[in-house]
Amino acid sequence: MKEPIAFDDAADLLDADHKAVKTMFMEYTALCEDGAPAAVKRVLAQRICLALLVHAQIEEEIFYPQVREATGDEVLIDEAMQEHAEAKAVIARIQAMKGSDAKLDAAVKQLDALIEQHVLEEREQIFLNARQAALDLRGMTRQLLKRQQDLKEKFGAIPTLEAA
Amino acid sequence: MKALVYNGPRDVSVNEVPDAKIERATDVLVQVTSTNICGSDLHMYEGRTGMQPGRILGHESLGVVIEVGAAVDRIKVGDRVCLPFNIGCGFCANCEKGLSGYCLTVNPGSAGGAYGFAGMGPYSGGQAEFLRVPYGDFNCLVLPRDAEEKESDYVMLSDIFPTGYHATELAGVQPGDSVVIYGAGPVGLMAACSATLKGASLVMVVDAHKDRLRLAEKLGAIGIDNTDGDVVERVLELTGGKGADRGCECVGYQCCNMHREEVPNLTMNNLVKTVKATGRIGVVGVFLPEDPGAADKLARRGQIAFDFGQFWFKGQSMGTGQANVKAYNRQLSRLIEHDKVKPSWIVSHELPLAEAPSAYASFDKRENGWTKVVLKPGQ
Repeated sequence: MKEPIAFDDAADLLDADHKAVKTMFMEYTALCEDGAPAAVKRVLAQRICLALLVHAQIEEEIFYPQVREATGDEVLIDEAMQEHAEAKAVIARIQAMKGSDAKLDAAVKQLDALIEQHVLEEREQIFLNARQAALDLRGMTRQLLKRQQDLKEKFGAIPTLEAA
Repeated sequence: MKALVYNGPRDVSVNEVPDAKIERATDVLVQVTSTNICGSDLHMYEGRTGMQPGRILGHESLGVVIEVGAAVDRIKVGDRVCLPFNIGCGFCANCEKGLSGYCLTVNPGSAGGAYGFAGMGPYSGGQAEFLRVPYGDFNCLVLPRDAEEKESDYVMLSDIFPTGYHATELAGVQPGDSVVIYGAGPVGLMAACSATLKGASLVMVVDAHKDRLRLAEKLGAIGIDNTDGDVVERVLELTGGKGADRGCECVGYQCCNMHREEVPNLTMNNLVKTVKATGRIGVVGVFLPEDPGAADKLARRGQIAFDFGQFWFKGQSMGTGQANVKAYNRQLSRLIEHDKVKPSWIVSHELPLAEAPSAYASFDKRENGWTKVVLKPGQ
């Protein structure tokens, strides 16, 4: 890792994921409105799922435990973990889905709403509290980045339209 | 304490809620004595934002400091202070540059924090008896000694006066310039006032509401009623066919045509048409990355059909975004102190907090004569 890390801290890195996923959800909504073919939508749905899985896992393995310890706020982190579990259930359904268009659209929409609410709470509560706690969020960035890269490799290439 | 709570679209009420309090050592606690309803509160009121039910609205507040946190040095109990609607930390890369509206730390993940505003952090609004002010030393503007008698003037320093001024800064207004301003709401009127302060030779204000245009005319501006005829033609006529030197957008994404139908690109494209070649446009009206409640497909995606070809061909330039109130409020407060401007001239109603729900309804309908509401929580 010779390149300097551009993210200010762990929250900055994790929030870059939030923004990227939000953009994909908006693209998905646009595809639905434009009547795009199911194959195109399915690829985007898979990309969203993969991005969220990597994101959730680095949060759960690295970020949440350290924030839990530094802030002592068990309730907040338990809630966030619960929200991750709900999102993962929807992700599993999307990944297994072969069938109808309408089902996929509805599931992605449901995931969008779940993530929207989760991100809002994470930004307004967890990130803010973490930054105000005695916690080395800058140092944590390197750990998160390393694990993020490992997981991306493990989960395999992000699907492209050609591969679908 | 009593506070104005958002329950859902077009549903607000004054409820008993837990008192605001000092949460961090850098906080200041203010007893609110004046707090305005802003046009941007109406985006939330109408359910056109991601505002969460149960939150307190209000980001234009002034009051008296009743408690300070242990790490507050400058601000003292008893100070009468005006709070910029933006919450800044004072020490991030943007705050250091005077861009406190885009503070990087108070609202992680998004640009900037504000009181009681959708997507701008967890901070409660000021339409309440008490308000918690984070980083009090940085955010409080301590007002001149005549603050109590001119409270309805000074409260405009929280948002609309600096925001109107910012529109003219973004547009680069200089002495002698002609300026066309879209929107004669409180911000548009403050932009007209600011352009006049800067020595503009001709100020034109476009709106559909005659009561508001009359206020603009009191400043010496030319009111242009877009229900009376072609706005573009009239501005070109007044500027010798060239268009104005500078243009300001003070309406935002819910702008309407003369039939009160939303046409989100109307003001932006009219600006391109009515600002001269090489002229500059300042946009302070709110535009959002997405607007799920919009009727139009582009608008739902936060896009407009913008006349970019004409914009480029004319070599125009543009500045956008919310005002960094702290960049201007101290200077503007001196103009009020020395009686050079009296922003309270736009106030139509001063009401107790209890009357806020009906005031929201009237202001939202743009009822005749409702230009600016100041709520007085102490009364």
